[in-house]
Amino acid sequence: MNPLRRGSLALLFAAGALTAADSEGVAFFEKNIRPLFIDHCLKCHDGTQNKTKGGLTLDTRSGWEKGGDSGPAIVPGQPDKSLLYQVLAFTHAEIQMPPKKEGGKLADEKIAAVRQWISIGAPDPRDGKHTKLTGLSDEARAHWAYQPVQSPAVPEIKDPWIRNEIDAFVLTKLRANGMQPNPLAAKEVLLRRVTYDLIGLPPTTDEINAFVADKSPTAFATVVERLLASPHYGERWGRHWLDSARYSDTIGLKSNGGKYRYEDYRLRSAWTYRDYVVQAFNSDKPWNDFLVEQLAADQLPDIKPGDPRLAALGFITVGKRFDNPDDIIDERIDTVSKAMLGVTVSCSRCHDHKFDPIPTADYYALHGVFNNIEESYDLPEVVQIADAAQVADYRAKLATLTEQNRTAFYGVMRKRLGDFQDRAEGYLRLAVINGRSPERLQIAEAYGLHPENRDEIREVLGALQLRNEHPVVGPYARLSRIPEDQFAEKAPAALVAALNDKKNPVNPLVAEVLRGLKPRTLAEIARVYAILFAKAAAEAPAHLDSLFTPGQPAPSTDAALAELITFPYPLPDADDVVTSDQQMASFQKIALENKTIGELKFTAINHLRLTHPGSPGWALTVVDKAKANDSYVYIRGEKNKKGPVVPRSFLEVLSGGTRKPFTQGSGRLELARAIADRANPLTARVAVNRAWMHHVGAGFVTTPDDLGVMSEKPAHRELFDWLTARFVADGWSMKSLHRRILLSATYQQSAASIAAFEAKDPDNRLLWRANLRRLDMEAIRDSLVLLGGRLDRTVGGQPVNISDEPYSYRRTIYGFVDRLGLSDLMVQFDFADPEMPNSRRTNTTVPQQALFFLNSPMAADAARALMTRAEVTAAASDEARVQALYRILYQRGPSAQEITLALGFITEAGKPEYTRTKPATKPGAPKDNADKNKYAGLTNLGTMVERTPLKPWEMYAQALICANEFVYVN
Amino acid sequence: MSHQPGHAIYARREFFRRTGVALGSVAAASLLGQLAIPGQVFADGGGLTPRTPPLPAKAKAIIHIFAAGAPSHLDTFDPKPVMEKFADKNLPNHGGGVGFPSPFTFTPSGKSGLLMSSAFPKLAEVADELCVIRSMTIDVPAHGPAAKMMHTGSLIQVKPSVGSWTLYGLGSNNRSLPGFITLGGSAEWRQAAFLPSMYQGTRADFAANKPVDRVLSNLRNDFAAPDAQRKQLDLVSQLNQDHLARFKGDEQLEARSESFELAYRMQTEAMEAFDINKESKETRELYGKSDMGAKLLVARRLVERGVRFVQIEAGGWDHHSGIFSALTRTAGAIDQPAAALIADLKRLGMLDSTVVWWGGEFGRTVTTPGRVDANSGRDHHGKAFCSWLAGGGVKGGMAYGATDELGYEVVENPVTIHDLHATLMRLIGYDHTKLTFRYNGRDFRLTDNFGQVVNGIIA
Repeated sequence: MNPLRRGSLALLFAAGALTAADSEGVAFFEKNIRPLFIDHCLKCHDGTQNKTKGGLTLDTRSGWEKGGDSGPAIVPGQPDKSLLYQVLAFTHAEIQMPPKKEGGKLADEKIAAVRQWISIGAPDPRDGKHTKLTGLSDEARAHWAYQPVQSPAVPEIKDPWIRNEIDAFVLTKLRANGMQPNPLAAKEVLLRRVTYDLIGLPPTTDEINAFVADKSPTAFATVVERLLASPHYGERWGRHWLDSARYSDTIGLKSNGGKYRYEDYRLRSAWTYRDYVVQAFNSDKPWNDFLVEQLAADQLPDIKPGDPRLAALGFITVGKRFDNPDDIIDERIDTVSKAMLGVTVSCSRCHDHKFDPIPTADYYALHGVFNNIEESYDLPEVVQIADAAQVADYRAKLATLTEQNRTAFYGVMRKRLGDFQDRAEGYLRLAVINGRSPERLQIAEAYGLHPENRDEIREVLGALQLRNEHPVVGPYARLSRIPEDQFAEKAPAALVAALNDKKNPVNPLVAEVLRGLKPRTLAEIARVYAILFAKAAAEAPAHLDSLFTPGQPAPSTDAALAELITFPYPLPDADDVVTSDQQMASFQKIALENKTIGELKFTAINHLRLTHPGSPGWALTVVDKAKANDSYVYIRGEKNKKGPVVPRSFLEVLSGGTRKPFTQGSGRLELARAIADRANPLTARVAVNRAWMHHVGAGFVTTPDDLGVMSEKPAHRELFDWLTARFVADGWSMKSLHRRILLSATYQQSAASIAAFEAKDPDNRLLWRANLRRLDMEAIRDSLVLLGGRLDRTVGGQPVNISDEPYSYRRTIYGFVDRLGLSDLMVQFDFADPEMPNSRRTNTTVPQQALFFLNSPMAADAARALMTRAEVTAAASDEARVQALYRILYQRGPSAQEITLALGFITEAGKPEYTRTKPATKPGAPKDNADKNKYAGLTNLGTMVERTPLKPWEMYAQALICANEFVYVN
Repeated sequence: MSHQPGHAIYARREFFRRTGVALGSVAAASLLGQLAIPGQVFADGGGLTPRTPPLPAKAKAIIHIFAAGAPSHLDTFDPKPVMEKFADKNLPNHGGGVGFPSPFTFTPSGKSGLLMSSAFPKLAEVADELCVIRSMTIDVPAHGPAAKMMHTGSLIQVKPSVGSWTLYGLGSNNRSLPGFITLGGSAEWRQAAFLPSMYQGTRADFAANKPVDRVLSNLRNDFAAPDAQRKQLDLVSQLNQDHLARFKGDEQLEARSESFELAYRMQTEAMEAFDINKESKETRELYGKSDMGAKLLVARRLVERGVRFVQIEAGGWDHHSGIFSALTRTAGAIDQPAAALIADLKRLGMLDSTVVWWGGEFGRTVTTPGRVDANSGRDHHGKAFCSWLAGGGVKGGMAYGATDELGYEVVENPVTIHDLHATLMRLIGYDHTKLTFRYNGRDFRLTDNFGQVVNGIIA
């Protein structure tokens, strides 16, 4: 079939989905028609250029409305009657466009696009005033999501199916479309559904029995309350928020070229933020408070030192780092706006937003907020460890590493200073020679600065900082600016000027040797410095010993001499850098700059803090800078092209006409409060939409991080608003929202398919049935661990390796998340990419997932463990054993046919030809697995899964785990 | 919209449900036989179903040999004899340092007479297949960002790899192997980013002497004999059929069921694909005994089996000093394997349908600091560098574009990375401006808002 013909067919078909008034229509124009006009028509039909061939202009809407000599060019909605279309499609008897010399007939798909555009009413925003596309139009501002949340009346409708107000909305709409909802799902099905929904785990057999036995009308409400009170609820729903908050345990920047302050790409305790989120859900912290704390917990009036709420600031700090500070700011703006507000503000970094009413100035109003914060060095401890022995062990190990760090640092610096003092003349001379001049090599060789030490030489030269104001090398710097041929003439006066500069006093010892000199070349001055540094070197050991040894009083060395001894690296006294945090602040900058960071112990210290069971948890906080400045607009996103300064403030479109500049510090708290303001039309909608999505399978708006102009229209707009209004009225209580949704018949109906409705509404946007949903990665892995009877239910704490052997039996939320490289398991099962907010998981099906179920040690381990469960081992017969397995895995009893199938398999698989044969590969200890570099350097305690063949029953249990029923919730 | 058994391993309806997924423009989407609603495009990406691209094209696969570290263009594919006159002379307008003539010699090779460096004696034998681009340029000559740019078209932001776009555009021709496989290299070079994760490159932990069952994760089963596993799978299949009956043929359930059969076949077929012992002695000798030889041989075996994109890192080119001996070694490691790959593909009639793409992330300076001697090297340089393509519908035996007489700047037909990417997409049958994906309210493409197809190199 001719693909292009199919293309136009598809277009015709699709036309009904759009109308001219839709922003989609405008977007269609912008994407397909405006460029086409520019490329092919405006050369001859541009009113602004006085090009009006045939009297027709196409640069504005009125241009084609009025038309040219032959009349109006377009009849909106009717392409075949539109002159423009006929002319372009070459169906007009006389006129055909574009003319041959301009390339002739357009490509078929372009003509099809014009047809499509006219069919939907020829939406065209060009009123002759706006020339470029932005979202700053009244139309964009009128987008439903920017309007205040309404509280629509609940439809008056009576039906026994209805359980609460939600159902009234849903049923009304279904009836209007000639449809009806499904009856309620069977109790076992419902319990499985709600249990996975609320705690991410399957129900136990006892729970099923209890629910089935409870005939009271409140039986389901009782279940909901039980689940909402479970500590596992926060683990499930906290993880959803962590997807939005792009949670990761690493900064995503490994080799930072010495620019970034982190010693290790792994954050030392991102997990305190994760645990804060889990607890916030468990305690039903009001959503507005939850958001405020994550942006500005440190500025709350009632915050105290060590307050656990400080961990909330991890929302800002668990993001990705970049070498360019503006990229870090952008990452934070992007996260705040998508996660909390459901708008894509970062689109406005370089230009006004193309679709939403967010001008570039608003982006830089937020830039000002995040530009005025910095990460704290001194992190508050918010999680204390109770186990005294572990704490003592941790402290001892930390003290050892800190001491080693200090020794290593001063050792390196002693050597580095000695090297400089020995070769000061060479360094000073090199410092003033163009980087790639041949003379450079000669000098370097002459002074023993060998090319193989190139990096080191470069770093020393960088540290020299030949600035005129420098007390040690200032005079040399000034003299170096005199041209060679005028040196002898001008140098003496310049030297006098340097030494007499009261504003920038020169080190007295340097002044002493330079005073009165009449140098002919700069090299002579370098020689004088060299002699001076050699003298300093003689005094250095005593001074450095005293400086470097803890417990010694500050060295009594003359200040001028001390300055020379430690040039070009001013060093902290060992007594001032007792803790590893003080060392971080003091050593790190120097060590990063001179590339000796690798010789220090910062990574080891970080590893200890990340993994030692006695290590406390720190809140990864930020603080406002001492003085806050507004940002200027970067024209086209370029820092060097300065636009106007914009006051720090919130997005105008969400400020309800009362926007005021922020005045308190960075403005973080004011920003947080503006976001959490009940008048803000987006914040509550975003929260409600996501909760609905996780319960129902699809949000009212299908793009949970973008409710802006480009998002799909909500199918149940009134219900969405009503539910949002209730959410706010209920004190932003997430648990109340769950109750409301879960107690509706809409939620509780069955997933049964009905062919007629399937044809009418295949995506189930009107909610005539429950959606069939696949378990996500966490639920799959947690179920495997739980069903094997080994789930470690500890809540919170340091992250573990959830992917490699020896396996951890912690819940998946406690797995280490490395945004630099997710584990195979995470990638294969569609874990949310922590590069940016991703509130909706993708749902792919690839054979690698099947290989996991069929072959991974984790699956075999689960199958084996399943067969050791008491319910299974206690079974009196094979039949009873099958029943026990079905109850554990599927929360239902097997049919007679399923039992027959099972027993047939056991008999068959037990035959000698299967049991005799060996696995394809030799069983035995998985040696090379154990040696492998573990995910992010984390290894669990425990044992490897035994590599021996599974027994027939274990094979059977594994088959039940592989089957679809295990991973789907209906 | 019927389900095509054995093809869609991704549930189509699920794709529709997810508004994010859009296979491109009006034209591209409709080519797949799906409705397109432009402006808010939905399309069935078809998952991994093989697709016929919209434009006529020969190439069905790409093998990317990434010369990490940035090879000197002056010592490999862009000879500059004039530099002899400037040896050891100060060249302040060429980045400082002194002129550094290449220590390698260049010989006209093949019928085309393409000038080949003495660093590549074997590759010279297939010179007539090579299309050398001498006019590559990049703005940022720093390894990390530039390598990322080369693989994803983006210096900083997280974007899908060119391999992911290729797989997204073509679907997979092999139902038992991943469609995009990397044999080493950084994770961000194979990332699917916002494309669905099935388009992400699968890292095969392949090495010449490594057991083939360890190449992909969970490929090997330590717990059941193949016959027993087959029995087990039959049971799974039966369970799934019964379950499916309760949901009236839901596509996602069918797709998952099918994926288990794929996985089962993958166990044998992937092991077979990675097993170079299955090759004749003659072929093995052609590629040589080195690890790189084994990797390129595996690349050929994968492409032969329908894999769309194979990525190999063949690095070590960061020759700041001692370039003569160091580059001789680095080039030596890839010379025979690359030449063998081209000859082998040709012998098997696969060269026409396979693009072999070699190149690093930028070039190197025309000067050396200090003076010219055995220790001389070259620093980073982005204004000009070389890549070459072979097969897949590119012209062979030619050099495209030119730098000035010293090789400092491009003076003719500059080719940016976006241009190169646009060309690769064209070679597989896509207009790079139309192979898009809706994410975050925007239609993204490999080439951002840039890129022009280099028509001059397409046969």
